[in-house]
Amino acid sequence: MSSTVIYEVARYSGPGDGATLLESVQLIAVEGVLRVRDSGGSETVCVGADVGVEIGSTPALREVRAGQEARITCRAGTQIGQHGSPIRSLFGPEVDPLALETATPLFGRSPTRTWPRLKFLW
Amino acid sequence: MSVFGMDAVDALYRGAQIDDRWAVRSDRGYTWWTDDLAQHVSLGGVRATPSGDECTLTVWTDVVTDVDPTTNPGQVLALVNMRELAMNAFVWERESATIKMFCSMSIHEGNTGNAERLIGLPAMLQNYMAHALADRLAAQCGGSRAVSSHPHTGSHADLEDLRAFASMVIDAGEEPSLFSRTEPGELPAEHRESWMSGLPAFAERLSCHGSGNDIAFTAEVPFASSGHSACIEVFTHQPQPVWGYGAWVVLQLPLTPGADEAFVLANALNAQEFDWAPPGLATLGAWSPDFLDADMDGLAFSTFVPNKFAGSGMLENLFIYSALRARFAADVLSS
Repeated sequence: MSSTVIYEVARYSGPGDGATLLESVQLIAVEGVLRVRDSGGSETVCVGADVGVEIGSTPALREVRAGQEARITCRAGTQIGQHGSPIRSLFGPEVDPLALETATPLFGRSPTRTWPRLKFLW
Repeated sequence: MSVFGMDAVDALYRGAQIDDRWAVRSDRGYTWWTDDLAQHVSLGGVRATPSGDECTLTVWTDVVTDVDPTTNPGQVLALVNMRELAMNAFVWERESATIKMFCSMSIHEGNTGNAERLIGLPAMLQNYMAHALADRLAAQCGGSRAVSSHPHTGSHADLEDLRAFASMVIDAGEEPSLFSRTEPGELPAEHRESWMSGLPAFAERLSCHGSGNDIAFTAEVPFASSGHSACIEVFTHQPQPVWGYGAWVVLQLPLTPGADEAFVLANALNAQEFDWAPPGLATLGAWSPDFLDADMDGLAFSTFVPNKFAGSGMLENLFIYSALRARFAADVLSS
């Protein structure tokens, strides 16, 4: 099975080339399903197909820790959602030219999540 | 009952040097009294994530009861939220006619050891500000100070530690922002870059358009399917009226509901975050009308981090919270 790295955070002991790699965590896509891969290569299947939700709800993917340098690689806008629905990026606009042809806008209602309604707007 | 997160609760309890005589413990938190207002610490439900368990720790203080809705409490609180608070929010709950002050943070295996610093310091400021502002807000909102006491040991009045803590934070805010400070490196003519200066590259790695320097940074993050972007502003050259220098992190939404509606929406969003927020979203600030806009007819979420709380990685995490929050707000407001 081929996998695509959607997002990666590598934590180093500090800045510069001499810093030690402490941890690397990836969000990958395997046949349309998101997984989190840790430093040891173990993979955990994500519940949803929404990049933003997965990054936001997975501490190891979103957190920058004091005293460490987090080097992040983000490949947003990739089109691998379940049932043909697009994966939305938490962050920037599409950067993958291949995805631009098919990706719908990054935002809009989440395909996997329903937020509770505000109390007195309705 | 899960014990996950209780280490963080215990660390907060110890860090605040709470006397058992003025506290009531519960399975997932505690309530305590430094004076006549109760502060609550409570862990939410535990959820499994691909990198371990996580839960939300919320700290809130009861401030005013019997609020009169005709006094426009939303506007009163928004003005305080944007001018006087740091890392907390006042919220008016219409149904219970109460005003509370709160902050929250995600607790997970990676940060349980640092919880005392991450949310303990904002919680201390909250306790101090709640006691300091309760009478004024009660008068402005036609309510009463939310006086309560320990069920067994009665009333308590010992604000000296909190006053001393607040003085320490204010004193640290007199020097220029630590977020903008460069320091000498190990080699001659070498300098450690400021925490502010690292933000543009961080935003770039997240595919966000951003630019900045040692004192100011701006970036765009996606907001809604219309293609509009929200704006994240971080700046350090403007002191906060109460707490002095530090770092402002302001998320501006691309909406202009008008000033009157912005006050209503701001309180509604604060109430929403107090009630429920997406996993991972820390509430260390408040929604208010967009005070960076002269007309204040937009919506913004602002966090002010006083110098005393400055640390590496903090701005990056607040940036990520802002991106999460823009998306959350877009979803909530378009529901």
